[in-house]
Amino acid sequence: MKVPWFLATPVACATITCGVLLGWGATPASGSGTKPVLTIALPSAPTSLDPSLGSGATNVGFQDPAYQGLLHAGGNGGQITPSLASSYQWVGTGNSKLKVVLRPNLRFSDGTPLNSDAVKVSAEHFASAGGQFSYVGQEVSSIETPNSRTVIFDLKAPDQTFPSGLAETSGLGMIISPQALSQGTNLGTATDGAGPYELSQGQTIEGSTYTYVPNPHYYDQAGIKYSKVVIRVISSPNTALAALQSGQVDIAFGDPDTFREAKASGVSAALFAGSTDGLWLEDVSGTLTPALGNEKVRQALNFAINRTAVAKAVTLGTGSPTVQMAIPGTFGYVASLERTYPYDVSKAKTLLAQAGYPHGFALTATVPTFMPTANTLAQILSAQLAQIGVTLRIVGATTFPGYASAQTSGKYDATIFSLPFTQGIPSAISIGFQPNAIGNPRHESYPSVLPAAQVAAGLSGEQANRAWQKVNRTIVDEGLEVPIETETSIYYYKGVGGVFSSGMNPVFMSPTR
Amino acid sequence: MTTNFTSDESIDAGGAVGAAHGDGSSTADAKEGSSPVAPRRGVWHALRSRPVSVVALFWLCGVVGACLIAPLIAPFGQNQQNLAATFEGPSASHLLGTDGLGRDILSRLLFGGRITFSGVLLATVIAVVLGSSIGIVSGYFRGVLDGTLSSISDILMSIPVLVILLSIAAVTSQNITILMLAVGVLLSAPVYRVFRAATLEVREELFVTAARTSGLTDLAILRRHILPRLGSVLVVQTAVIASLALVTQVGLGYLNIDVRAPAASWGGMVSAASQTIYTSAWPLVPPAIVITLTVLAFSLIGDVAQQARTGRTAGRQTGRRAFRPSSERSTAFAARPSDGLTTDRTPSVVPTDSTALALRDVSVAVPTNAGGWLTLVDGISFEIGEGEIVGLVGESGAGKSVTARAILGVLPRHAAVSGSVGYHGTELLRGGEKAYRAVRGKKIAFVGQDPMTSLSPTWRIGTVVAENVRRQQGVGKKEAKRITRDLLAKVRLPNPEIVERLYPHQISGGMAQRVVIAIALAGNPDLIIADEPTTALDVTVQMEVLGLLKSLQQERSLAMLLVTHDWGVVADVCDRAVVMYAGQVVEDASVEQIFTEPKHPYSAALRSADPHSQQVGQRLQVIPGRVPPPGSLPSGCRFSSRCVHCIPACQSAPVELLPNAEGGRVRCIRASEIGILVP
Amino acid sequence: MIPLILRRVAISLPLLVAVSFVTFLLLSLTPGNAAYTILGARATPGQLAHLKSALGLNRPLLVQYGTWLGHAVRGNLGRSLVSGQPVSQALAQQVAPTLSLVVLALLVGSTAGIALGIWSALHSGRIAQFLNSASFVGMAVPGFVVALLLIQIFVVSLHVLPASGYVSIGQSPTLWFRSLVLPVIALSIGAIGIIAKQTRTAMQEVLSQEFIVVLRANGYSQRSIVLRHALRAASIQVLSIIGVVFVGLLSGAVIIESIFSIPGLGSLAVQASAQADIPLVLGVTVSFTVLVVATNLLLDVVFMVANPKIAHP
Repeated sequence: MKVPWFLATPVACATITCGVLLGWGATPASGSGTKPVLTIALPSAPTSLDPSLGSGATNVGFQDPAYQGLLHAGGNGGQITPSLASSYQWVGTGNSKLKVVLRPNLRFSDGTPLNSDAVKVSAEHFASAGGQFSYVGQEVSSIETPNSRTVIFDLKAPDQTFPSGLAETSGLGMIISPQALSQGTNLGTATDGAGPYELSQGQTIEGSTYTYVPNPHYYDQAGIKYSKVVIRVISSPNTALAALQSGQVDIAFGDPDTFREAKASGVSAALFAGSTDGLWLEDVSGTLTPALGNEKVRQALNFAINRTAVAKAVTLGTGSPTVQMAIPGTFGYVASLERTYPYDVSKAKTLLAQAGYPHGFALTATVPTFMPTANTLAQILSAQLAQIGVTLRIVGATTFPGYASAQTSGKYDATIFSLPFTQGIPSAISIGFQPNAIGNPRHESYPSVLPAAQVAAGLSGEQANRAWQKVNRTIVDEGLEVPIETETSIYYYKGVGGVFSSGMNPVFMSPTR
Repeated sequence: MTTNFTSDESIDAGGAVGAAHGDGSSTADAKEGSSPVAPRRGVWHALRSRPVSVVALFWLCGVVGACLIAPLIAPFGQNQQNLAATFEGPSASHLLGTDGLGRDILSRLLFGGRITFSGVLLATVIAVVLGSSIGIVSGYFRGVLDGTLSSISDILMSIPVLVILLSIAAVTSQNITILMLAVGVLLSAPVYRVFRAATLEVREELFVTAARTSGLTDLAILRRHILPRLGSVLVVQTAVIASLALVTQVGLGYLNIDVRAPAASWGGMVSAASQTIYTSAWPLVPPAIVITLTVLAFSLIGDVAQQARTGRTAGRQTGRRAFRPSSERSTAFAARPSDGLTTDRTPSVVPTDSTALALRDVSVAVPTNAGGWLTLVDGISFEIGEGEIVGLVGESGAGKSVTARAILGVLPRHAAVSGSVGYHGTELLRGGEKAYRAVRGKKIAFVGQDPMTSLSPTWRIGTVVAENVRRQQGVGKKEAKRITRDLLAKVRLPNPEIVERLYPHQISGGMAQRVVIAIALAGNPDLIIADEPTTALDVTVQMEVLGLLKSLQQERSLAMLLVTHDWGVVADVCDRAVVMYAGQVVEDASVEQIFTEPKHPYSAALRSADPHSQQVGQRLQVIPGRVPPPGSLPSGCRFSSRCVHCIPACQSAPVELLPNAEGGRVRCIRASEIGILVP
Repeated sequence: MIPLILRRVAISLPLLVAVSFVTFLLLSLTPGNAAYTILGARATPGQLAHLKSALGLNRPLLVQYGTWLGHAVRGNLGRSLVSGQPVSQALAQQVAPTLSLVVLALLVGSTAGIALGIWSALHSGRIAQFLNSASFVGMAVPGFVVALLLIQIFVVSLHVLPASGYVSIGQSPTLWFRSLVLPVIALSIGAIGIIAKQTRTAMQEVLSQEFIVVLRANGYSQRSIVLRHALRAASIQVLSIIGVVFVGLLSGAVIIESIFSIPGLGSLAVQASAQADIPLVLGVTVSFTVLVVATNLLLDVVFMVANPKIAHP
């Protein structure tokens, strides 16, 4: 059949194009000079590069190259080690005064010196900026600067977890240049810190590609391993993995679905304990829903959930079930507590009947439906709780502001969300039980837990751990929350050195490796 | 007699000739007579009769029905989870497998479909009701109202749909009803446009003007005349909007903003499946297939309805016919029940070297919906000598245009032609496209019926003419331009240098016809086929154009085949007349003969009915009865039912065309008996 | 013709105002506001209130809108509430990927669609029927299903093409092209179907007209008849459907961008809506609308120029 010419031309073009594309396996140039370029894929764009406005995991990855913390937190709830600081220690007992000694000759990327005065200015700014972690800054009643390299933080109340606040986890320790603060630089889109790199605005496309170039004033020039660090925003895990496999990125965030495929294709994976998913109760006094005020009811909820099956379904085998708000290796973790709530539907029903709710009851929970994990978990829980006659009414929100406003309104019984208990029970207390915690929008008083927590915060070492374990036991026994599983943060990497994490946030620039 | 069919595979050069309508009627010379009324039962009939749309309807009814009774037939609850049995493939207990939470996919499809279809229904109803009613009002009443409404529809169509829906979803906490309502409002804009355009079109038609003049109220006009014509538009638009609404709804589901978890939705199922695509690709398949098939079904219905509405059958039916090899076609054609086909054994005139064109037993048929053939012209034979002007005369529907166009092989693609057409001895019809290409323009040229539509509307006149000059004469651009100007002058166009820069719509009918003649002359042909060249023109212009043709013919010794129904033209211009009736030649004689002593009763009757020869004060003579349509031809003489001289023998057997003593031919068994004198 | 264009532009301005106002209203009714996005979930009510006020979100709605409008007509689209980046800058950065995607899809769709349409108007054999059905199916399959299919085949199974986002043409033309292959295919399949169908219909309609018979009978070549005469006569209808397709592509681009992680206006819209970043959403909405209006205007001009009945009355 004769092909008319006007059909042949486009077909020919298409064929040639395909040939060119398929045969062309070029990858982007690895950068000029001897040092390579490091490319990282992260799932969402930062809302701001300003550490004082940080909202956690989303932003830290982008702030990290430019802002080094005073201290550094190892992965899996590990040790806090000095970073910009050369040493730190508690002054006296009671965990209320922390002395930090800075390295000599530190400078910001704008050239001004990082000394104790700078730390004080930055920390005070942090406390008043109103960011997500400003409460950490507000723990500080005053900052003393006896000399240019020594900073002493006076805390309002004892808190043995305060050093973690000076690491990358909360951002307080990410010192911002006072010059930038006084000049009013827009730190949302530019950086001025003392980290190994600084943001190159000219090579940055907001929302898509963030490029960092070496900081000429960094104190350890030999520790700068890359000529350029590029962070790309790739929202889909499949796309990120494909980019890694094809060599376009060196490190990519992972997810449970791609895990097996990634390992099979020869990609290395670094795993870190992630957040804990659960049904976080907010109405334990039973004001909104009387049933929740009854301990037996709350225990029934805990018995009714098949955590093993749920964990497998939600995390596709990469996470693990849990009944407590701490992960192994963090303050207050008790391995034997895991046996408290085996999956036992009949026991759950009995408890409900004993509590006076043989036919169950209804409870409402806010769910950020734009987060797939929370969305899936909500669907599973509604079926599992239905087994014991409990109707879970889901109040979904499609945007974060929508979820936040619903959650903070205090009108609902519970929420389904992922919470990071980086320091174990102390984190749980500050996230879930403190009067102003996000997990406590109804400002419940938790008399069985809060006073004990306050005491534990003032202790140290093994004494502290035992005290926190007691708090943990109370929380679990009284069924104050319904934790379900811990997720695992997965990062894939190929062709680079090991990937490290700080708390639950990825950190790749740490010079200590 | 061998039948050789050439069904033209290249260009669908149709025109209105031989267009077969869906309900089996056919008009041979469709340009004559009134414009066809919109096929009223066309849409539903088409939907019922075409297999694709039947399947589509079945699918839709099936899916919607199944989803409606989901609570009854679904094997599992939509949220029934079995975390031990996740990502399973199809099995006995789970016909379509399970998803990531061990839920039965089939059940979720059924329940999800309820939400999907109720949303689609809501959006479609709103879009169509709103769009159609406002569109009709806007198109009918025009004025300021129309202007305002059009602007509003522009606004609606400019809004980025998804962005708005995202905001609405957030505001209303995923209330699917409000979302689909919004979709309906947004989709009403294109519906508004279509109905407005359709109303405008109908409004301008003559019968509406007539109704208005006769005093009907607007409401009555709307109700009685406009609305019925828009019925088919409604069907088409409903189908189109339904498919759009479905795709939008599924898209919303994909972004997880259509239903509150844990309720199932098709789009949500695709979204969830895509997140676990590495773990198992299966959960993506059933919803994707169901969504695609349903959208496809809506689109198919809309497409079939649209085709039925515009009466376009060339595409599909030709496709069916084209599958059969030509030998099969000839056999099929030959095997049809006899409908009076005659064979013409003895040509009246022995072909000499001076015969320019010879038609032998040419028949043209078009396929019917029932799978058979409808013969439009039947065994036509005649000749045209060099320099001779032959008039092809007859009423509307006789088959004159069909015959004329068959000569040059420019009938619609679906028409089948048999017989032989010879040009100076060279066989054209059996020679196929190659033979035709050798003669078109160069030897035989063509002038059509309606000059206002005979010219390529998007090019300037000079360009079109020059193109043919270049092609036929092989000259360069400059020379072609010069020749073009000469030609335009030759056809007596004033100011050719101005005319050649004009577009067809800027000139009058008479001028346009001259341009067509100029085009025809570009290749210096020997024979011109003129298909009713003056019918569409004013009387005075008619005479000018005829005069032009006559003088051109004399100058260049052209042979001409002049198709006409006007005896005046025949008298003025022609040497010989070939009279056609109901697809056959009934008389073939010199003009003197026909005018003084027509041999066939029909020719005689036509002559007496000729308006030019009517007596003042006397009743207008007409021939009683009607031309029998091609599908219902009598087996005997086709004119018998209207013939005053009819005897039983006339109707018993087919009548042959036989030569007579005066040198012509006539198809009448009583020709020699009847002496017909015409005043 | 110039007065016509001016009139169209004049009508478009109220349209832009109307669209932006409707969008603004909807956004303001959304629960929550950008302060939550900026401060995160742990902010105290006091901090939230303070930031909300600082962002100007406490003023009366009309005042907020009026201020925005006043700046907008002077070309200042404000700053993103969340990142502080000037909106016009964000738009400028992110409009290129979307335009690349949509324009390429339109080119591919038009070329293939028109060629396919012409061919199937002329032929009726098995191949033509198959192509017609195929293009029909192409129209019916939702774009994101096609996208997922393509990813499954070319990325997951064959590892042939990159699935990662977008490389700007300035960086590397080859990679720019490669990164757009799958998204453009996914986006253009529907377009090909629609344009092919419309072309076929228009061509069939034109080819059934009398002037075609006259041309053919007088010896014009098939090529000339189809491409010079018929196609030109059908071009109005074809162009109009291309205009409609363009608007549809802009919509479809939103989902495609999110699937393929392309940082275009679509993903900007989704992200900005999710963050309740009003100036940014308004900026994106206005951009979309301007694109649509400009395209329609361009098409109208082309119609007027191409249609001899209007250009030379």
